[in-house]
Amino acid sequence: MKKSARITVWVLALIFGLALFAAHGRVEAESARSLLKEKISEVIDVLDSPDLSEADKTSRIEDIVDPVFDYGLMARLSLGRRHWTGLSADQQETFTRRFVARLKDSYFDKISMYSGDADAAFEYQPVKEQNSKVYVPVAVRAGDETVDMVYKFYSARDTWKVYDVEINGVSIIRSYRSQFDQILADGTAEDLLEAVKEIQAPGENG
Amino acid sequence: MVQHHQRSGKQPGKGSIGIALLAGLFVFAAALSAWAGQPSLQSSEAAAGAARTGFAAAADQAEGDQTGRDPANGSADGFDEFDEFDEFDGETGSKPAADPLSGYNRWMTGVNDKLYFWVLKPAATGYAKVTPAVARRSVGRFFKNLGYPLRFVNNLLQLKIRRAGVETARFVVNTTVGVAGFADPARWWMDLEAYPEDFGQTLGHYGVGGGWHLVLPVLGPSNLRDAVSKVPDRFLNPVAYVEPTEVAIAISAYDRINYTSLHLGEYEQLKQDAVDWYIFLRNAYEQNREKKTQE
Repeated sequence: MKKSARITVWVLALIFGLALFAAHGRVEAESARSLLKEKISEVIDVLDSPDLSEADKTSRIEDIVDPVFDYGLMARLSLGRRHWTGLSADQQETFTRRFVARLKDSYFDKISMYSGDADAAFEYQPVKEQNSKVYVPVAVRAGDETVDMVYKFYSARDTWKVYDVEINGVSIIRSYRSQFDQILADGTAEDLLEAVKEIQAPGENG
Repeated sequence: MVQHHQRSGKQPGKGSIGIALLAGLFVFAAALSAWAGQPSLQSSEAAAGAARTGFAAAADQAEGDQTGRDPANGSADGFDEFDEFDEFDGETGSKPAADPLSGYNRWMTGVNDKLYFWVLKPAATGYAKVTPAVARRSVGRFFKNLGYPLRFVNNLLQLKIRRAGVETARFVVNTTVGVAGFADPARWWMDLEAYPEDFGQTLGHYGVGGGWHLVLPVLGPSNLRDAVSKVPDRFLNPVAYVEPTEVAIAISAYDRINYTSLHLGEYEQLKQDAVDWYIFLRNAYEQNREKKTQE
């Protein structure tokens, strides 16, 4: 009798505790989605403001987007462990700087391409959780087409950071990784640095 | 906090009040962790918790320091972010694309590139100049509607009955109310989306891998499975039944030009972003197909 009471208490405590954890996880995952929603609507507001110049728009969008993207991590992940550790500290720094400039460049180009679609609708689908990561799928309906995007967040202490974006199933990190794999299979680290050099954001100084 | 719980758990002999107290402490700890917003306690495994705390610390380190000098070594407790993000290992998540034909594939990618810039792009640009976008989008919807038999049959083959039903509803509505498919009321008013499926996806659905990557003339990136699947696909394409064959080919070409006219600049944009254009196309194709077969 006494023993079973003891077990009951333990089980109750466990269930209550687990429920708390689960609720906590839920709230966290939802917060990743609301963060994304907030950021996207801010970006759209900037794109829709008619009296801003292209340069102004770009810098404003950068201010909105930069805090949520972990560009440095994206640079490292795009190389993968083997290639990243194969670079010297200087090469790592150069690579990261160029890669990030490139990434931003192509991102902003894409954004300005979509800005023509005033009636684009964003449909946020249920998030997927995995350990400390949250995938937030968004279907972007514009004109006759729907683009399926997935923003991948990881939990960085008290906030969420994006470490990859998928567009119609194509992960940006994976895409770059396959290209860098090829370059490093045929060539050297210098070839890699040369390859990421070609387009540069106007602001790059070095 | 988990450790604390384990340590206390070793001495449960002092009666149920003690147990209740410990249980209360456990719940309190849980509440505290929830309040503090630490993701480290979401799992009961102390090791996983430790790894994640290290993960957050490493992320903090990387913050504001985009060059991130020592991520490979990770933090003191042996955390390694490349383990944490190992989902990117392999070309599409499972394995790198087999590409023994890479020599030919690269060459054909170059040919298709010339074809785009010398033939397709000028044709699409000229066509776009004389045809308003509204009309071109309608034509695009018309051709999409003609893709119904292909989508319907392959949804059925994969036993996606509801989707096959949605496809049929779309076809009926768009062919009638949508005037032969030039409009898409099923999507606009009834929220019915198409479910693109082809024979390659059906094979993939039943576990057939893509096999070697293969760049097709004009059509672009493909693989052995999908290239072979284009034969049965053709039987489900109404345009293929048009006689004589020259006219059928012309209609398909028109479809292609019309599509390109609505996507001018995208090819150039992607090509400019790519570090290695052929590898980019190959990888994007395989990732996209993998996602489509999983849906």
